[in-house]
Amino acid sequence: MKIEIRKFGTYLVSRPEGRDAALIIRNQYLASRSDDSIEIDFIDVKVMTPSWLDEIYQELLKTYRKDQITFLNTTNSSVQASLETILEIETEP
Amino acid sequence: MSQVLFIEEIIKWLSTGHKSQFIEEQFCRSRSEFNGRLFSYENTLKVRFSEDCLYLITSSFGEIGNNCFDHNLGHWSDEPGCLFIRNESYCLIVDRGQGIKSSLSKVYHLQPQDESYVSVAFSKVITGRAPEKRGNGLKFSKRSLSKCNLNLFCLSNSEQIYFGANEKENQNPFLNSQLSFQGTLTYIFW
Repeated sequence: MKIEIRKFGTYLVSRPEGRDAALIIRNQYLASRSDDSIEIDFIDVKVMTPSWLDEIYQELLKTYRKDQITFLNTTNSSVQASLETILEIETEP
Repeated sequence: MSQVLFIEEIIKWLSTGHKSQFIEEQFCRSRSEFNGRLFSYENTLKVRFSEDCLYLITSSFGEIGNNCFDHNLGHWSDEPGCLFIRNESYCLIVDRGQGIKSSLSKVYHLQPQDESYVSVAFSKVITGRAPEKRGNGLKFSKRSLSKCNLNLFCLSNSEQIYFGANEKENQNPFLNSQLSFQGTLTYIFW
């Protein structure tokens, strides 16, 4: 399964908006999942914060293991930095 | 508007809650209003910064501004919202909420090696929502703004922190203002 993040917007900043996106992902993407992996595609995303991304990442972790989640098109600087931040925190004790 | 007048107006607002017309115009009553102004700020920022930095800076300002709304619900001194001044050489985000120390001290006690709650907020991952791992926004902002050579001064509950170029520190108009108020002021300049 692939989720295109641009379908939630291209300026993704606040935690409440991330939480709304996480609910949509849970109810409309993950509810009937049959795949054992998922791709998160960041194509066309302009501005992203770790707060927004953390909300959907935490939701994905309820269904998938970390090694089942793949991130695509992560060249945008704010996407890259947000990913680094949330993944780094995941590995902290 | 001269910088002296602008600082006087901010100090008056911070200490009394009285908003001048200038403050009123730059005041965001809601998160949506802040985010709308943040996105239009890009038109000013893109003249000065590369695309990579433009997006990092916008997301950092977004983290800092949204923190005003995330951490002050139920703790506003009076009117909810934040002051958001968008300039071509600086950005100022100020709220009259509970302040970083008041917010963080509920979940974290300073360790001997910690300088202040403000420094902890910008350097450590602290969460009030364990076992969820949160509290990374300011750390992200510090890293991103440093990458783009921006300077940041934060004053909250009488604690302050500055990171940036040493020779630029004197350009901070709040450096010797001896401001003391309940809330958080973040001044980013370049």
